[in-house]
Amino acid sequence: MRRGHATAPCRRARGHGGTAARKRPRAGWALAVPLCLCAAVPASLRAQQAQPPIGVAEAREVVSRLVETYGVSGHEAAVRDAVIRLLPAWASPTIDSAGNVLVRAGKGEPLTVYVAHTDEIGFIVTAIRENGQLELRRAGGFFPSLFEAEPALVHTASGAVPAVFMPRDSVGRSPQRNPGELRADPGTGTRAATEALGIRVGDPVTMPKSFASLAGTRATARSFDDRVGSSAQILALRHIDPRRLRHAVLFVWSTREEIGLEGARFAAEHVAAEHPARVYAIDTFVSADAPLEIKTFADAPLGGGAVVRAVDNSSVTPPALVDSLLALARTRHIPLVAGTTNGGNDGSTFTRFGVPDVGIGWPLRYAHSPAEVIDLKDLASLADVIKLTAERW
Amino acid sequence: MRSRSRSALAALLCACLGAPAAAQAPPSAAGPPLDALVVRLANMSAVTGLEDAMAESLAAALPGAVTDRAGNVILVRGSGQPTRIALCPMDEMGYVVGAITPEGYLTLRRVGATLVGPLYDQYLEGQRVTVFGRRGPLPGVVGVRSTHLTRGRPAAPEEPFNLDNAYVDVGAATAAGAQALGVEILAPVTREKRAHRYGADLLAAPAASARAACAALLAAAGRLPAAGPAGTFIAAFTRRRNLRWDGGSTVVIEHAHGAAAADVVLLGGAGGADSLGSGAVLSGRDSLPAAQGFQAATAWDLPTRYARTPVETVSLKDVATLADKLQAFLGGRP
Repeated sequence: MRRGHATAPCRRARGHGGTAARKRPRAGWALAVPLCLCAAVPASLRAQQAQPPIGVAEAREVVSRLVETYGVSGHEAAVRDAVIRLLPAWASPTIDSAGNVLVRAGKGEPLTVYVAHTDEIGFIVTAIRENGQLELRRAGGFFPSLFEAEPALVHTASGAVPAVFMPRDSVGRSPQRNPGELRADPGTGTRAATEALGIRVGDPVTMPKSFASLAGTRATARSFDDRVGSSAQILALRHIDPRRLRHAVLFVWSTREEIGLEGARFAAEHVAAEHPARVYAIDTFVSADAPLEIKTFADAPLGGGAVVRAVDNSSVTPPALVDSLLALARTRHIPLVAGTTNGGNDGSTFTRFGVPDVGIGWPLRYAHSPAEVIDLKDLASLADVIKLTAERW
Repeated sequence: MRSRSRSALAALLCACLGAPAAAQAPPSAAGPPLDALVVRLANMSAVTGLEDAMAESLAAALPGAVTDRAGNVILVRGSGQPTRIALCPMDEMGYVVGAITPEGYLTLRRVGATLVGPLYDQYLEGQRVTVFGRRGPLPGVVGVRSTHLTRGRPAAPEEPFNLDNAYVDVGAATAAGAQALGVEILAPVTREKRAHRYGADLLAAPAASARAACAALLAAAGRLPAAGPAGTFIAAFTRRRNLRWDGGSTVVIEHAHGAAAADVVLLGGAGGADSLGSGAVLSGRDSLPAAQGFQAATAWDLPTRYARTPVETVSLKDVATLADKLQAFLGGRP
């Protein structure tokens, strides 16, 4: 992990530039942007354009509303509606045929794209047994043991129906951590009674969730991944004056990330013709800043600010872009560090169209569990970074 | 939290009992007040040996109740023989803070001697808990490895989650930060309690069966007339069931020993699930430690599904039956 404050970003960008340019098929976007950045923001202009940072209170207000909305992959209408309600009045959202929410602002080239996903992990009903119990399959990757013997909600067409995730039938002589495939019990006793509640095969199932403040600016909830990213985009738009943008920006709230980046893939194919200069994947930085994690990488501390997700399992951000982004944040005293973690991101669906993927996230503890923990300062910092890049990069 | 719990529980009990007897709905038709009482108790915490807040709430909810030398909350009506005693344990298996790490995490020690299953502590992993610190209850979570960061690494152990790996995160970054929140070693810790209604009349919560039984006893005791049939009738909410029935034993020693005829009913057991929702109460023989041996008793158990899990489930219909049965046992008219 590299910290922004310890980096000499322009010098580093130049040092890597020649080599990187020779290796890249499209050197233009990779090299020109950081050099422009270093030259483009004189100190006098920076002072003139300085604005108060986005606050923790507003961050809490937005993310608490999004995180208490349910949206298992492919069943994200409620989250989509919540996002739209939270947008500033000037925004004109559209919805594409993949269910993504799109907001455009500014004019002129180059287009830059921001993408955060609206879905969350959960389960899907695959069958209803004669005794009324529900067979389930997982949507997304997580430990099923975290849901065993916990309250459940079945999200039907007519509303949420309470149930429980059943404990395993038997622990056996050698108890295992993993319960295997889970079932849910809506407490009916028969298939007919279950169906009478409106439950159907294909319905999503989640655990009830709520936002709770912890000490200081820490908070816990399930599905901060990626409601924090979605919130950061909303917060940035609320603080952007679209008339002052110097090029076009497109904000995307994408669907079905957890089951294969599907919404973003659709968006990438439709936006590629506009030759975006960059795509910013605004998503979780799964942090090793937790008591049970191995800290050989991903050790981004909570409360330390946003994180450039420079290397993950789906993409590598060009080093020159990382350095120039760190430099830009440094000019505004916005906390930003760079690091590497595991997982994929929506921006990786754009790279085959020649669009560099700049992943930016925030440190998250206990990802994909019911007990995810964030620091709201990191969300505010992330929103500040998004706003800054839209306006100045 | 304590004062709020006390007043809320008292208000609920008043709502449950407040109507004049003649105008009151038949007790067998348990209305929303009894259901709300069950929910209220199911949402409270009382780690074995550390039941003060629960005891205060129960005492406040039951005018005339006293606290005995073991800390049990008991209501005595009538005098003479026979003696009838209904005992409901107010405590639960739980945890206390065992240590505070330099990074501000809390480690846990389980409290209570009752044997628990191999998955009991695993149910804590990645879940929200409540830490009862000096400044009141605090939310926290028990940490879990992120599934993302296990990829590409050797497979995680297949054994169930172990309490030695339970680190409670209250948002503090240092030990001093945790202590500044009022957290200290020995602070009680339980899962966050949020009773979950499902099905037609089911309720799921940790220790739901015992809490529902105590709600039934609370309702029945509150309905007792000041002067009833001859005899002594005792409703007791006892401490430390999970430490050899300590509190219940004290009640028996003080009130049943020497009595010519004493009937003792033990509540709080989790019965089988087959008759869940049928309005039945399961009856069986039991005993508990007394001064010189054991006191024979009758166990009245609520049918219970998913016992000893976070979604331990009872039927509110069965709870209403139990309340009626207790009222009759204690000298009231069902």
